[in-house]
Amino acid sequence: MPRFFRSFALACLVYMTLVLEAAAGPRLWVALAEEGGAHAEAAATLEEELAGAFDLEIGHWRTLFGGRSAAPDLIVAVGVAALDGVLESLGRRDDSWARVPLLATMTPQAVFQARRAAPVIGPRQFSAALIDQPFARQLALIRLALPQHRRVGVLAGPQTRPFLGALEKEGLARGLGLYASRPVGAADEIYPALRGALDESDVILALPDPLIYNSASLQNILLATYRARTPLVAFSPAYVRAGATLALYSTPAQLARGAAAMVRQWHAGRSLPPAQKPREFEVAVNARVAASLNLSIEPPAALAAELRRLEGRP
Amino acid sequence: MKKGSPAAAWLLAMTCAGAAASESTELDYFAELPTVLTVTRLAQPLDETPGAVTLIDRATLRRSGARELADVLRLAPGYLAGGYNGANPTAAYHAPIDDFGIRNLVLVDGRPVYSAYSLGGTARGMMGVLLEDIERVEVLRGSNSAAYGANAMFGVINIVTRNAADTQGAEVAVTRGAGAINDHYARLGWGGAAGSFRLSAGRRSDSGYGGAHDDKAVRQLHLRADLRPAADRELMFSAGAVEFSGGEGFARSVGNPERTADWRNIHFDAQWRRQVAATEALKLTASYDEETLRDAFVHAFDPSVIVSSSGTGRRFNLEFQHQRGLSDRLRVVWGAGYKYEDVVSPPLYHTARPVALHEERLFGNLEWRLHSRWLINAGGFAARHSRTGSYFAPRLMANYLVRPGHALRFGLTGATRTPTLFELAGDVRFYPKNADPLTNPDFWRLAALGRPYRPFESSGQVDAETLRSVEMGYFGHLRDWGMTLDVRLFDERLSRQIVTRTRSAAEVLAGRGVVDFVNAGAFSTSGLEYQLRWKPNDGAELWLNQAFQNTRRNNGEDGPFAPARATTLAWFQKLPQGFDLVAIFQTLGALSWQKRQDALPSRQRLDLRLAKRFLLGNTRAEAAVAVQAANGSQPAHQGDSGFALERRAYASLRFEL
Repeated sequence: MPRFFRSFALACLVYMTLVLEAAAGPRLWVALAEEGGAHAEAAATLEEELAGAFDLEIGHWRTLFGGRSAAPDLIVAVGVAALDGVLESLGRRDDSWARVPLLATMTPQAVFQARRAAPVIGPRQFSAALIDQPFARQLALIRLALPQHRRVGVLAGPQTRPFLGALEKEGLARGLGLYASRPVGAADEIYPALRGALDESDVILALPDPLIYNSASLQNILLATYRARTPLVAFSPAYVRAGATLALYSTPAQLARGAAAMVRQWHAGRSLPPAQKPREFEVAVNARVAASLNLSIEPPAALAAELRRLEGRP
Repeated sequence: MKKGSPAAAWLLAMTCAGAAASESTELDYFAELPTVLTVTRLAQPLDETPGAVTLIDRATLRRSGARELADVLRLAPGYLAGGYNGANPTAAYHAPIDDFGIRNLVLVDGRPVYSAYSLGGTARGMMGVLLEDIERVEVLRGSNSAAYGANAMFGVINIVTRNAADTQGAEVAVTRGAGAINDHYARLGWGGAAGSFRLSAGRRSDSGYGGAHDDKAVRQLHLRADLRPAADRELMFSAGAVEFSGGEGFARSVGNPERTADWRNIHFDAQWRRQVAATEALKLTASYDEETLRDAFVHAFDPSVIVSSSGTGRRFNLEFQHQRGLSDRLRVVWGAGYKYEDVVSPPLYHTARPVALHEERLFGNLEWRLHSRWLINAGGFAARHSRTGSYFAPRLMANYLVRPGHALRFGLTGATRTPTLFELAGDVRFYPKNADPLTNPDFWRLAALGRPYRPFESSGQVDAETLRSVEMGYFGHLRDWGMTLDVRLFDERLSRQIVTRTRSAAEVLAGRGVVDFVNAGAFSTSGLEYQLRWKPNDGAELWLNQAFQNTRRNNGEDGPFAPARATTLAWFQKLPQGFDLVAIFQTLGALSWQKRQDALPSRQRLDLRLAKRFLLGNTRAEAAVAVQAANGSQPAHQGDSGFALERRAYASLRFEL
């Protein structure tokens, strides 16, 4: 029954072509900085979002680059250490890797901007699903949650300073004055700068800058702002648990969904969209601290909903 | 083709640069952190406090232009600022039944500052803190004996000085003006995260009221150290010395002639705090105060008689406090304390030996969130006084959250004031030798009999005063209007009030003292007071305080009485270019601190201050001019004394490096 065999072989071929075509969607590496915690949460979300349409390989950046496989179609680096690891490894690969696009996620804007100048970036597409919240959103949150607080104090650390102009502009647009402290270049300059900021402002906006906001300085900063009865608006829920009044942040899953959307855009248009700040976010409120400062703040869900509404989203 | 080396070199350089500039990473966003502002560290929200509270912060203190703390208290509803002369400014809540401020407790960082020495006055103690060193003043309006013990009868004035960590660097300020106003302040702060220190010194002087012999100069030096030996431990230590000299007496008075009194105080205060867990903390406090008064004059009618109230008083206070959250709904604070006071003053106590008292104390409060809307505070303060026996001051307060931002408060409290050492053991004797029967028949008669003249002799029978109060309050936070409103409706009944009793002529001739202290007075007051704070926009803040009260006395019509109406309107306005304008207007109904015939008429007072803040390089500076009683001079203290609170202008300059 040669006819039957021919038909069978053809069917097999069609089937394999179809299946392989599906499985052979673009090859994506998800290079993680760490394999647990927030990175694992982001990886799980990326897998959930992208597994159907892409050939995903998820692992620590060292593991991925440890083998001898051919260049993937896109690398997603999750975390700064992953980004740096990927950049370093790419530098050791041959020309076939020179155009592999790179998407960084869970990466601060300052890091992304600094890495753009890396020689290894060369002609490749490089973009990021950034971790930083847009200033407009942070200031809108202050206006919503603390309508009586119009003077926003910021500690000007090395990471923060380049963005102060943009922050001030956004503040002006919302009727908020910005007080930037004197530049902080060393740990012993934090406290004098904070005192100045507390004297001149009625809310402190914490912008991530490890020289300023770290586990060693945390206690002093929170105690001093509390003594001055000034609310602190921070960038992570851990700060709110520690004693900050408010925080605006995106969860690892939310950041990963942002990155997945950029991957899909890349796939659709074969080009990576420009770096983006998170679209999805959460608000956290330390109700005890707020009450103790005699602030009446809306519940976090209501604040987040109102912020989304202001951004023109449901 | 391998690009390894340049890329690796670049990356190495970036990483090093990153490390040097300490680049942020996602770990800053996702790292877990320890809880710093634990429940035990947080002040109770105003809608949950078991009583009415007025908070006056550092900025308000400075912007008000006040030079004395007593003046600042005009910003708390129900408070009456006064002073028997301009050198002893004081304030009383609701009841002007003494002009020494003995019926409210004044605490500086938890250390009581009333005088152990004679009449328990707080005027000088309140002057023993530099206004520039104060972080905030918490005025707990209404009885608080249940938490603070005796003396906290008509409220607590809780002065919190600035943490040394917040006063690093230097500050100097000078104020000069009419009425011989001449104030200086200097501060130096140093240290780091593990320990901070502050040394501050100040001098304040003025000529007091117009028409009074009450020039005053206060010099003081303070040291405060805040140490953090471990993340969960804090140690605060402070020490200070205060030197006061103030005019006393009246021209042409025989029993109270013009003279200068000198008062000195040294104090030490240590507080240790340990955060045991997120909902548990321990605190141990010890303080020591020593005061010396030099006040003596030669009796006009008999130069052999020296009238003196000189002497030395000491107080030692020790307190342990344990705070613990038993569950989400139940929080307990309990503690124990010991207080020792003694006085050495032969002229006042007729003995060269110390006259002493001590008190063992036990207190507790249970905060129970009975329901999401109901918060119950139940507590009490029990003490054993070595001279007057035991007392117990209870409190039951319920706060009901009508809806977010609106809370009602209902409460019953009992409060106590234990007698001062002088009320318990005062014994003043004069031995006239050259008494003239025409000028002083009493002296002469006693001298002829070979007996001393004893103006005061306490029988020691006097017991503690008690106050029962019932209150209802409302605290509203009208967020959309930028407004807070605090209303207190009260009924306060003071019984067993300690008053003086004059012994009969026969008893006096028999050698007994003229005046004794007895529990014979009573005073009650009921009324309503409110404070409204409104921020209509970013630069402006308006405070409106009003108090309406009706006082009743049972000891005749010549007792003191409170004003039926008092209104304070304060307007704080920030202006462009660093200018700041503040106007405080007060209208106070007629009141009397002493007898009815000494009544002060209804008065209005307007204080103004205009300041400009500017930068001189890195130095922050402020120049200000202020006018006290801008609407004109007005009578002060007793109506018949001729004392006047004069219109005075003064200017100040402040630099902060």
